[in-house]
Amino acid sequence: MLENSAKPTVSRESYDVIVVGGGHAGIEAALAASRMGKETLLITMEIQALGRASCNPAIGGLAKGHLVREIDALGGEMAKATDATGIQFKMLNRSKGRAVWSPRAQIDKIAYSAYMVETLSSQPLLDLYEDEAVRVIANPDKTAVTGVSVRGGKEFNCHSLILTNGTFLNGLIHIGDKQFSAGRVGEPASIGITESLAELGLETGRLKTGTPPRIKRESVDFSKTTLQTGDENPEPFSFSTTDFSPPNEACYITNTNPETHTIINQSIDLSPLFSGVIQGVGPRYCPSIEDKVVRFSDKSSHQLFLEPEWSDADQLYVNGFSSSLPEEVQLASLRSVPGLEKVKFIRPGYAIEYDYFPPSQLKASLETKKVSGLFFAGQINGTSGYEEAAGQGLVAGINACRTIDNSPPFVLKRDEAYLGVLIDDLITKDTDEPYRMFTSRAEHRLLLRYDNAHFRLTVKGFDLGLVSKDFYDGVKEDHRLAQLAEVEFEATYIKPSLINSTVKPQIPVTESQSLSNLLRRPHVPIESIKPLLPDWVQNLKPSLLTLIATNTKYRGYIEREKLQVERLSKHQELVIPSDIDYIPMNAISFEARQKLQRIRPETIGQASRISGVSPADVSILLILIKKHVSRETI
Amino acid sequence: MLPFDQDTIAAISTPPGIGGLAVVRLSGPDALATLSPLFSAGESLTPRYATYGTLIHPDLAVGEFDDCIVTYFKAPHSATGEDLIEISIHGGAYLQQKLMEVLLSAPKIRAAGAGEFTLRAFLSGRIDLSRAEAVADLIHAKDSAAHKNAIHQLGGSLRTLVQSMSEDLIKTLTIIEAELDFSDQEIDQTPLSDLLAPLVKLLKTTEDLLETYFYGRRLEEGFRVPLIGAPNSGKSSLFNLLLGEDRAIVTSRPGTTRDTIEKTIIVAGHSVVLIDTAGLRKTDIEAEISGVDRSKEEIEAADLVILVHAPDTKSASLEKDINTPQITVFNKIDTITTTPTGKDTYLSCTTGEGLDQLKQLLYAQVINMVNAGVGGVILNSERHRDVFKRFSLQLSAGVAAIKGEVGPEYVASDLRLALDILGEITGKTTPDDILNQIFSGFCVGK
Repeated sequence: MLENSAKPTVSRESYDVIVVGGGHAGIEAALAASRMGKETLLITMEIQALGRASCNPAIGGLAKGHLVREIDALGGEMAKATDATGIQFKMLNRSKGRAVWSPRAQIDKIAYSAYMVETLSSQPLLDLYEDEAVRVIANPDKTAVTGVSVRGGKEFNCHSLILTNGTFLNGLIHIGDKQFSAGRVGEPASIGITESLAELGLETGRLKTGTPPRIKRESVDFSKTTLQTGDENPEPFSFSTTDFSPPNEACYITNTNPETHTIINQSIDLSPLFSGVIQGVGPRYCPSIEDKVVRFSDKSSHQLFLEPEWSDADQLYVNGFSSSLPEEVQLASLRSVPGLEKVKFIRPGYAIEYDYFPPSQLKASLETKKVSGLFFAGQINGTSGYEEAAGQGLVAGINACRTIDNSPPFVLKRDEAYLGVLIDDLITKDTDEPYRMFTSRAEHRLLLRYDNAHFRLTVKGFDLGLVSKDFYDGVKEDHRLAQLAEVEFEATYIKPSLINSTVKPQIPVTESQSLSNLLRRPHVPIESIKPLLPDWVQNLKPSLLTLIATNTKYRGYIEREKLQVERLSKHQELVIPSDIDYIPMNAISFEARQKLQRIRPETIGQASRISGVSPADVSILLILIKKHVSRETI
Repeated sequence: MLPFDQDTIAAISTPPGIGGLAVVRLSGPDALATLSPLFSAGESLTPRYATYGTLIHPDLAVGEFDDCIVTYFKAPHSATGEDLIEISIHGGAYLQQKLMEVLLSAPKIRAAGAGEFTLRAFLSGRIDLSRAEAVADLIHAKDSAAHKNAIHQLGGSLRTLVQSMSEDLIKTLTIIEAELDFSDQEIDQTPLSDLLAPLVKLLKTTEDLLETYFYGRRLEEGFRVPLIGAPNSGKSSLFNLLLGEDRAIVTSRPGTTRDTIEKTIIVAGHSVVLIDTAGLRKTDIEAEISGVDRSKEEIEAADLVILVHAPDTKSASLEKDINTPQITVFNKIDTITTTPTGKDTYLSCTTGEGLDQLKQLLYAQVINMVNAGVGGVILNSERHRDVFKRFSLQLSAGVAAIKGEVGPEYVASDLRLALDILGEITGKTTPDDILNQIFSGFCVGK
């Protein structure tokens, strides 16, 4: 473990890759780059704050859990760290179909951060430097990045620079009418980077997010709350985690009531959100309590979850009560909630505004279109969520290395991974609201289950050098077994009498059925046919058996989805020449031309996904590109 | 429907209206497989050879749809660069529609979009690059026209109906999606079975709409009204009488078979195609030998049938076998003293007595047919009908999935596909549209 007082010294001033920012994006980027063999430097304002969770002390959840699994399959660190430091694990959406089950863990924030500090400190080819980066340095004609300078005066050179500054760029915290500069409470903002990027011609905007108060555990009357624990035998996030028996710490549920809402409403104009003081746009899926009370005024109560921030913590996070109301108002309203009548704050909730860079300025590799070698990942791109950030960091780290090697960029497609959907959405959409992953964003959701992430992606992680051979072999073996089982299911027939006595269908069967046909029947849950399976299949690990059964039962849907992908694949990857001018293309609608000109999609597929661009516009574009290209080659 | 899908497309390639010949084209990987079973010489199609044969339509009498010539072009040596099949049939909107109907009911075929054949021809390099802008303009024009056409023809009511159907489907889909993306700790959950009712209602609306297609086509081409009756019942006289009195527009054109005469008159402002099957008399012997009753075909295709009885003929059994709306006429009343009962109208072609009454009945029936439709919407475009048929199939799959207790993400997949199909008329629904609905309808987020 690194001693608090020892700051690592760096031996050089020139690196292959420099990462600025030690949050979830920065960590994955720095680890990926160094693991791929590049000399890497991570600059952070505080080494002990590496991997700190700014908000919810949890990793995973709906759609986010999928991202964590994909990060694991690609050789990232988040899944392993979560397994090692989680204090409660729960599989969400258990009451629904298996394709949307998504794991979530509450973590011990302190242990998580310590895990990351240890991992980064002991990573070969990775140096850590503690200071504030203040300026991005580029070549004279501003087309390529050359380095970065820090407040202490030092200048570092690099081939690739990855910015993962999170909410720190010109961060401004609001609590009621109090405002102060900060990147996170108790940590200073980062000043200077935005301005230097603006000088390089990059556009910037402002976003906001909020966080709830942290309260003292001893001030809560738990008798008035409902206890909730996690799963008894949870599955780990990482494929490499074995012997998994984590703690199962409880969290506590309570509810607001009309009195709470009245107190909030009475002081609503003291909320910087509603008084218009805050410039940035906030996320709709993470509304502040003020938001909830005003927009859904007919709801008489909102649920609150009190979550410990680390093992046996004396500090609880009030999930569902994000707020930037004055501290007194927050306190008064919470004291009307059952169990919180005598609650004491460790810290009030607050809103934070910060700079971000519209990601339509990025290529699919996360490199900026304007300045080569400059990559953005994480909240700086307008995303929210640790998992979204980590995924981007991983991709940016990989591509920062690929440009150095002159290899083609690593880009995941929308039918390959949620990470592919995430990045494609970011660079193609025009949203001004923080982006969070939802399963509904993935049109090929049925192919992107959390339980098949490794089968989909591990080979890529291995080819990149980020996944060990053992890990890869393990995944391959599971895959082989799964495919074998599926074939056997098709070929194994069960006698009607046995079926009727075991499965007890509504209408008894009269003919032998293959196991797979049996599974595909409506009203035949996977559990009911387990006794009919061959022994070797019954003895497979439960998660693998579930995967096999799901693949079999829903084969029709899965095949249809694959056909859809096939069907749309022609011309998708066709590259659009980077110098193309859309404005004179009169046959394309004016709105489409403007959007195309602004976003400058790299491929026809991406162009077709821009809102306002119709299929007819895409047809025409296809024609005109062919013409443009053929003329160039004459 | 995007420029890069691998569907096989079908369209009538000759201009709309009536010509001597019509050409229907199929382009894509499933062209040959689709046509072969529908063509008598399907097995012997050779690339670049014109093959003569007859088309087979499942609903019509075996082997006697129409003679045609089919030319098969094997990829890449075709106008579109894909497998291309050209079917030349005798002109006549009715036959064209019947052929399109049977082609589009095949699983992997869909109606071509505006300019799609041209686009494919271009993309495979069959059209000169120097004509690129011209092609682009063509697609643009056709696409706008297709849009304008949809709006113009039915006063925008089709779009309004589809918009509201789309919104209903989105509402249901939103509930499912919300529950997939927000756990039961954040929003209330609705059992899937509660979602059946709105979907079943949508299905009914779609089925009703599909049924209007027939009328829609008729509005375009004219309602088909054959005069059916035994020889000597006076059909031809009645035919001429009806025509003679109404000289507003009379067009003569070749009929569905070579042995009928059709003439169009205007009734209540709409085209009515009167068909005299009297011409069959000439080939009665042949008809008897081949066992085909041509009048049966006409009845199948009819919107309204005028059944002509007369004192000296035995035709009492005619009405029983016919499901189509009918007007029964008792002709030659000037030759008898006691008027029989049980018919709609009684007239004499010689004296003209009862003719006005017949015309009034005809008028009333035409008005009836015109007013059919769903919320005033009548489908008349093959392409739109194709969209609704596919929509109905897909939506039914979604309903079956809910009943089969399939996981909600699979139901969502079915419903999304259905929504995409509707989107071919209204424009695509994106994930953001659904998310917007979720956020405005549900208080989500911890």
